[in-house]
Amino acid sequence: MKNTLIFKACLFLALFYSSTAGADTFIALAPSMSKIGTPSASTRPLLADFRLGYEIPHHQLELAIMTSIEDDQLNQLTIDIPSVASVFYRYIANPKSDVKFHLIVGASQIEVESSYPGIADSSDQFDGFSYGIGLEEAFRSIPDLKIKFDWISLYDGDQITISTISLGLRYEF
Amino acid sequence: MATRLLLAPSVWGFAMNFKTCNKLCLYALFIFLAACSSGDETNLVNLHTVADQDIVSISFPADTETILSINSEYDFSLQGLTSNGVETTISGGIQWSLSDGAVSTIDQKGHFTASATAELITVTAEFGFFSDSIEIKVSSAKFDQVVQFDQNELIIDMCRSQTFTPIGSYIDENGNEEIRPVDSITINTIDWIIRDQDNNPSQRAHIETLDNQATLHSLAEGNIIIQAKAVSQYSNTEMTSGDFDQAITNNLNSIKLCYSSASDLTSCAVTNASVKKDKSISLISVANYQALDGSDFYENISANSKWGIDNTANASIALSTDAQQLNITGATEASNATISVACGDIEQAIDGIDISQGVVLDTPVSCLSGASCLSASSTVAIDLLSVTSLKVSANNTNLTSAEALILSVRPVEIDLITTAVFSDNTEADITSDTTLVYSITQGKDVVIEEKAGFVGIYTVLGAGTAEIKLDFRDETFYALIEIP
Repeated sequence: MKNTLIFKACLFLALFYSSTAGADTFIALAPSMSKIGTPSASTRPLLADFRLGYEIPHHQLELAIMTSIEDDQLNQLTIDIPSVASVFYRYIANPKSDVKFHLIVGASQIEVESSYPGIADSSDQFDGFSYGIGLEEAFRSIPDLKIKFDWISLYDGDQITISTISLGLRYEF
Repeated sequence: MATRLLLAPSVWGFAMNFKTCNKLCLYALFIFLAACSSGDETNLVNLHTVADQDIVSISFPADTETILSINSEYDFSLQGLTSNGVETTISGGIQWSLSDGAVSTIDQKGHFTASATAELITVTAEFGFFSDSIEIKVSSAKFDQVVQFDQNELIIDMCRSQTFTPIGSYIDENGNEEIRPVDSITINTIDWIIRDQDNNPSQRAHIETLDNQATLHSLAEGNIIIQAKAVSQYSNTEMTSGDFDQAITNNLNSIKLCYSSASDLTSCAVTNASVKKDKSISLISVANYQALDGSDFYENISANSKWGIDNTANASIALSTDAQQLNITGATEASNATISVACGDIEQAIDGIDISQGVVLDTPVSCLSGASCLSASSTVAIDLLSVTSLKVSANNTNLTSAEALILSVRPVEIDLITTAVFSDNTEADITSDTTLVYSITQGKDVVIEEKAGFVGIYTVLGAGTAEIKLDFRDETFYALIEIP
């Protein structure tokens, strides 16, 4: 499923923007606080969020790979997110402004591992539509380097929501 | 040029169509992606549910009733074992269900309503990935009489309240007897009789039934005899149970008064209590008891205490609606009232009092000599209301403090009327109040002089400026008058 998602993402990127001239590629790195919400309680594993993408005026496309930094515990329950693979399209609402506002849509595949006393360790996978918002501002001394903030709902299911908040850096080549 | 003009709209239209088409493709893609959301959420939801309350196993409590009367109601509960080995009642997140074909019903709070006919059913509770079931018999056996005060032998301390589950005898259509807790239909109809050893009505305790739960409230140490009187559904006659002997023990270490707002009963105390006239403060009686394991604990015993006051002219007292606190309302300013409280047998007679409404006397309460009883008291000061302003009129014309009233005609007398505005927004005429101090600060014996034998009335002697200073509590008013 993960390979299918990545393949779809690459195909999507290639079909829509292969002929676009003047696109800037970029990378981004951020620590990301995830939140797995259920009707009764929530847990918050910590992730490292790496992104690769390219940008044309008003638009960005990026591939995000997130991996676990630290699991979270709720009493005896240990929850970890070993991997997240996502593709995001970002629409830049105000490209001329110093602080740019992004609308984010895409798809994500999230793997969640859990362990609880007396219960066999388990791994669950969630695939779904993702959406969010972002804010970004360039450093004046290094215009290609930006500081960015994202809130993204990676998965919004019947009873479970998985979202992330990240604050990191993006560099345009 | 004309061709260009003709072509322009079609080119523009094509461009617009292309943009619209592109947007539609993106929308379609997002909808496709949204529709693709998948994943089995059950495991993660269950894990969070049990982990939130730290539960590692579940079970029905040992005292769960397994035979219930037709048409009765019962609240099921579930207990869980936490990871550190403590048994606790699970507070939520339980899914309740009944076996297929059951006519009885159960809601998601565990509230069970029995069917109108007998049936055997299974009640299942699911909590996260844990599940437990219990077999329930909905019985058509009819209540006959109460045969036992409680399932267990009870230890009841004086001035405490103790819930209990009376046990009844039920008889089915074949004459078979079922001994089980009295159901929700009958428990509210029981008339409890409490007597002392001499067969007289006892004021040591009373029994209250609320929300299908019976509670014994004890007021004094000693033995009591309890009987339950209720209509037998089996014989359709009023049945009075046998005598149930119950001891009320004295494990009381101390008693004290606290403010009702006290959050820590261990260290609370009443110091410099005061209340303004027509305002209230609330006190509680707090007892320290010796537990069976040797430890001690504090408890609010206001409902089962005996309350008194030394002066009802200065303040009035009444228990709150839930009897968990005593409200004291100030009546006479600048006075005191001593509130007394006792747990146990007191000197004052309470024979004529309905103790189920609480014991509140118009006299101080004090412990009977040699009786098992402890008491406490505290004095409450009824404060003067503070004055926010004074209103003064001279010969029916309102004055402003230190602002001259210029008269055009010289009067024979000046008649001052003074009204105080209090902090509770009430007003009172204080012209003749002995604490209102008048003093002539300008024109004394030249312009005006006090009229002998009258308060606030001045005789005009001649032309000039007259100023009268009025002091009342912390407020001062200068009545300034220009006399022609």
